Amino acid sequence: MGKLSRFRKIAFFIGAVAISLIASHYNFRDMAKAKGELGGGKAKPVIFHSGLTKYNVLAKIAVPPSINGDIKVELRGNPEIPCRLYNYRSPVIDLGLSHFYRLDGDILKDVKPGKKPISLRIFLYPPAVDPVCGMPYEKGFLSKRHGWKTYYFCSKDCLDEFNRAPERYRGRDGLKGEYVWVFNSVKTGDELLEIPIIFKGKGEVTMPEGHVH
Amino acid sequence: MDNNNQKKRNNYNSAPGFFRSKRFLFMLLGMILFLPPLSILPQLTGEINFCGSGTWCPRMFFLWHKGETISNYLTSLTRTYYMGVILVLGVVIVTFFFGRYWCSHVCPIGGVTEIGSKVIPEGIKLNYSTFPASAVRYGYLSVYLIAPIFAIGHLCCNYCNFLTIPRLLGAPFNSGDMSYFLRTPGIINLGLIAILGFLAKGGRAYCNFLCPVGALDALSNKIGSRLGFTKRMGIEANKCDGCGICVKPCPTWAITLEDKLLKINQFSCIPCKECMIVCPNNAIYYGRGGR
Repeated sequence: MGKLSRFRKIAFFIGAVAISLIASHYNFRDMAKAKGELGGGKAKPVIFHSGLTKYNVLAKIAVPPSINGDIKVELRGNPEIPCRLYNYRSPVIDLGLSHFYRLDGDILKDVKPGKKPISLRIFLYPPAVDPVCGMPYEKGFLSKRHGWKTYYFCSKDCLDEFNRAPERYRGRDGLKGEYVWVFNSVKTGDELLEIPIIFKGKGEVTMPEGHVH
Repeated sequence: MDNNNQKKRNNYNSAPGFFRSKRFLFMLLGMILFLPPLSILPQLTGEINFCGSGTWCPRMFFLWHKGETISNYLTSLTRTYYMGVILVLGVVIVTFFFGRYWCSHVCPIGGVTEIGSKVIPEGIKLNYSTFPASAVRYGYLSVYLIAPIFAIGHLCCNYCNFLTIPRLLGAPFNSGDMSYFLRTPGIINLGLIAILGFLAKGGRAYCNFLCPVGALDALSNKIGSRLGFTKRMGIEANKCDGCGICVKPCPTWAITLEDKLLKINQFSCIPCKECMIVCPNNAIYYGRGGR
């Protein structure tokens, strides 16, 4: 009995190691971290490669002593995409033991140097890319289901081209686009920080000849 | 005295009995101190729970990442993770001298899952008692520690109940906490604490299988008892008649009964003393030299 139970323990130990090793590989590429400082100009860009439908960036933003007042947060880019902001460090009940930044809509209220940096998360819903011409395009125009995925097209021509040779364009539906997360001072209108967010897309997409939009 | 014991025995695993116990009050205190909505201690340092910029994280600081220098590591201990380091050192020292009271009485994370599991009907709960918990826990811990050194990946933060439970309590009030559960990692972690926490018999399967702090704590307990310091649950063999009443209430399934012989797995045991309360012969004690 003792021997058997020891064998069982060893088997479970090895099983736990194996499952943990597999689990440790898990890295869902929907999130990236950014760092910056208000008044620091441009921060290191955040780059996404994979083709998911929703991404988020967690930014830790330091506040130097020169900053005081409200900060407007916005996302710029073309085409405009839906996004949502979340304040990652706001207590449910503020006991007044520390200074916390408050997010009201897209305005960070009463920003002044505190013990901790501002911690903001932005959820982005980037537009789908036309797999044929490589143009980012709003969902809901022309779409076609192929295999497990739905592809979106900017024009009838692109859809026809896709229908001719769907295998050629498979997997080219990554998201593309360059966006900038901008922090502006409400009082002076100065641009304090820019965090570029870049969607690289998957594979190179070339525009076939005779393409009309 | 006998009558009193009988009464205790009758409601040993009933929810009302648990909610009247001193241990429940301690857990409640732990939740008030560490978790939203109040999170009093984290607010002192500008944080809102255990997770955030790492100040209060009791797990991240164990890890040595590939390419990290000694000075880098030490700087992060004192600058970033300082409260977590103080917390874990405190836990390990208390365990070394007095026993694993952090796990059984204070830990708000294990507390939430245990309290949650008490209000779930027994019939639908999962029984993990056939799994050898310490083998699984140290298997997990070894990957937890080694994977970042060789940059294989990391378990820390991807799977963490110190991250999920505070957000779960904060989510009804705070959109930032809520947003975590809109992401895939949030859903995976929620599933883990549901299956290994709320729906587990005793509510402590997550602690027993996957908690690195608990694993370190058990090691400190082991060393302490070798040196004769720490206290543990023990069985007085001459009083025990092998009735096995104590096996069921144990939240960490540390007690096994083989041929009328009771054994306590000291690597899983937390001194919640549920077994001591139910023992009709007072054969289980808490003291030095427990086996």
